[in-house]
Amino acid sequence: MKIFKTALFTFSICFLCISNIFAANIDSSVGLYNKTLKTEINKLSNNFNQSNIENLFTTFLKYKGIDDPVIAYAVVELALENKDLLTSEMVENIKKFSPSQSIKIETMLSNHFFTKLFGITNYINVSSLFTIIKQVFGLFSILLFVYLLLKNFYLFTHSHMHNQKISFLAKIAAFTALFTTLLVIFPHNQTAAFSFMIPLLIFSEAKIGRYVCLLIIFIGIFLSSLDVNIANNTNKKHYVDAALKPVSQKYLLTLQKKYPKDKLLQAIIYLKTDKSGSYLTLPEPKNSVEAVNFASVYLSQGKTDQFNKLIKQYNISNNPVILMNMNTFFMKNFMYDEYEQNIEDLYNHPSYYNIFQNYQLKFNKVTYFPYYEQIELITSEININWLNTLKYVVVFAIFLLIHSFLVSLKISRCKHCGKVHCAKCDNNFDDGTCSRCYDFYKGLMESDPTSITKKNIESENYKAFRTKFAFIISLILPGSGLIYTDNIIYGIIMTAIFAKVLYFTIFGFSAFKWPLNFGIQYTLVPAVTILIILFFIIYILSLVYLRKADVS
Amino acid sequence: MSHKGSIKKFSLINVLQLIAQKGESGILEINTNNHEIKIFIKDGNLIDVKSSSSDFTTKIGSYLTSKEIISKAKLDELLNKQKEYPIRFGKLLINEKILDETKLKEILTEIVKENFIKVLSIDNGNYEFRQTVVEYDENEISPLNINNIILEILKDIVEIKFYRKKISSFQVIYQKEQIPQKIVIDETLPDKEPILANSNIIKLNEKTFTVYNKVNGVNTVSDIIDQTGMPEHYVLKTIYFLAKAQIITINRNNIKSSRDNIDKNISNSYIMPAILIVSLFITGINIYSLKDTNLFSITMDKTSETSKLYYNEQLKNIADLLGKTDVEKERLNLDYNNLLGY
Repeated sequence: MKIFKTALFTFSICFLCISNIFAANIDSSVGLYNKTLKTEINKLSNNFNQSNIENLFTTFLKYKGIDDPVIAYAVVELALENKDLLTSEMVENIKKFSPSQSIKIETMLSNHFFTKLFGITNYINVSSLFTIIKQVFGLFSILLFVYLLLKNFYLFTHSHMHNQKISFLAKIAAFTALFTTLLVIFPHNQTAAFSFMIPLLIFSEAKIGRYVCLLIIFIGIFLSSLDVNIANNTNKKHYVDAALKPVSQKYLLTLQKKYPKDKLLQAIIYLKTDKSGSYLTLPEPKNSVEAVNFASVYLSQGKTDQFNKLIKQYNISNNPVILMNMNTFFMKNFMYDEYEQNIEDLYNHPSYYNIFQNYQLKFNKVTYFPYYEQIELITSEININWLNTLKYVVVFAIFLLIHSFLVSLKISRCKHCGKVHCAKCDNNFDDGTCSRCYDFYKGLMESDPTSITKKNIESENYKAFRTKFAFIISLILPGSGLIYTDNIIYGIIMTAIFAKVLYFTIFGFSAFKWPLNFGIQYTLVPAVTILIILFFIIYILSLVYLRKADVS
Repeated sequence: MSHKGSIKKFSLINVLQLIAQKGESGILEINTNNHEIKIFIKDGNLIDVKSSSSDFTTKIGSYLTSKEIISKAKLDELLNKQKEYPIRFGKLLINEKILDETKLKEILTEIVKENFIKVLSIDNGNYEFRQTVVEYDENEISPLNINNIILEILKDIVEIKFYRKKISSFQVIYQKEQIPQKIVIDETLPDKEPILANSNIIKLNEKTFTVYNKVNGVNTVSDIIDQTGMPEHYVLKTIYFLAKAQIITINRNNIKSSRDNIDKNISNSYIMPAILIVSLFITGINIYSLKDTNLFSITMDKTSETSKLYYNEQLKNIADLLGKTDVEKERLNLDYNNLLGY
């Protein structure tokens, strides 16, 4: 007896373990789709034509598929592999597999340049837009920082101290200390350090240019301080799978076992598996989605009173699935007049109407459908972290104060002779002219002709150097020449375009990487091509300007 | 080069350098709003400068009186004589034995050079070069090499740059030093070496002495340039030589303050070393704090990783549905990396 008990106990333990292992692996062992559907896809893969697409769609409908992006994109992939065979009729049929993705699919399979170009809007969401703005601004800040440093390096060299070397080293060290401090304050946003340092380097610019630059930096810094939060919707994935995809019966049973107490899922599976007439008790619905599915179950069971009660209670009479299921009910009960009146309401929901009509035509019968909205696996939204934003704003305000101090020093390089001067060693003129040149060119100074000639030669030599230097640095760093020659606003525009081109060169299209954002390149390649053409036009124009214009 | 054009677009120096290099002969006519000037050139050498305006032409009479070779009264007398006997003024000077032929030639050549330098200062108007045969009296004028004159002027500019570096600021104030030697003027000293010092005396040429006199512990370098009316490069050079000979030194007690004293604190010689030390200390601490931070990666948003995860998962589902091999999965047309598919 004891041996029997021990054997029974061991057997039970083993059974539990094995059954648990099976239960744990049941999801992965059961395929999402039916074999028939896979066979149809395989056929289409081997022979891509209109007939096979239609066959696949028939199978898709057979398993009550309403909107399945995975199947739709699988067919798109095959269409892209067989682009020569693709017709507009095929494109229309492919779109039926996933009405929610139809615009993207049309963009991807289109042969028109502008359709592809303007299709970019379908791929942009808060996350991608924000990532691009932040990273392009980061690159823009680095470039502008380098350009301004190149132009205003004399800030470090100009000094009235007795020991010029110590003064130079002290300024460099202070600048480095500030920069590294910013890196410590913002360890996860290294480019912010460059952005904050820019106000320190635009002390010599004309007022308008300076204000525009400060405004751009402020906006960029403010945007950098914001966060993008994501909402994960994967916990609703099984509803989407069950309601909208042509999944296999086995898979539905697996779901049923996995979520035995989920009445919404039970109702969806009930409708999906055509168990009309069988018993299913349902509680009071918690929301309109449950109400639609529960009402549809009641309708399929012939409980019209309960159906009407829920329709009134949740005001869901215009829901496309309710309209579809009502039509099914009317057809099944030979209520053709009611059917005729109701079908017109379904015209307002073309994708559902197509499903209903196609199902009826292909199978010569009607059926009840479950309801669930196609949702994104993850969604994003901008979140303002006030404390973090305040930190950015306060640091910016501190750097603005240092900027004001530097502006009051009035350090600048004379545009005529290249001499660096400041409030201490020269009269100051807003246009950056030193007092000697100002007197000279305004005719305030009595000069002997020899001095005039020398001054002219000196000025011409400096201007020639300035023009050549601006041209050379522009060749290597687009936009730097314009900033060097005091065209700060044009320089900023050029730098911003260069930063964007540089961004796509470095990061590619990774910012658009988002669930179901397939085929981004089909719309981004035309957009980036136009951007690069625009960049080269402006780049060449800037070089011509620097070569020809009197840059002083 | 076109033989006519705007001086603003192509400066006179460039025009003349080109004519000189080509060794051309002709007349360069310059028209400004107020003046008409003609420069006579033969084989690329300067022969004469003529102008409708006295601004660009020095008369020989004025030159002789400014150099005190003749008095004003004598000049008037000679001019009256010239009216009676219409001969050239130069010939009259030789007849009156005021100048011999060699001296007259030297003076006339010097006047042409001075006039030429004045013309170079014109920075607007138009020029036109007409190629023609130019004749001149070899007894009166020596042709001058145009390139040499221009180079001389350019050399002064190089000198200015050099001495500007030596004298850090135009606001620097110098003062005379108490020296045991006696200072005397020696007009024979050339401008290249304007100071000659030994244990007993220090010799300065006249121009250097003028600059030396303006050094008083109050005047800045800029003031001295203005007060002496001498060319900038010459004043800077002279001050440099005087300071090098330790006849003058910087007056550190009377550094002229700035107009608004903005940099008053920075002028303190102790502040900069202090800033240097503090900054290095802060930088050191910061670098130590950053040692574990990956500075060379651009931080992606937290959404990026999540979105990548689901993107890859769904792409895998599509590939699996199509029965793609592992190699084919890497080359899906749908994948954003597949630019070739486009």
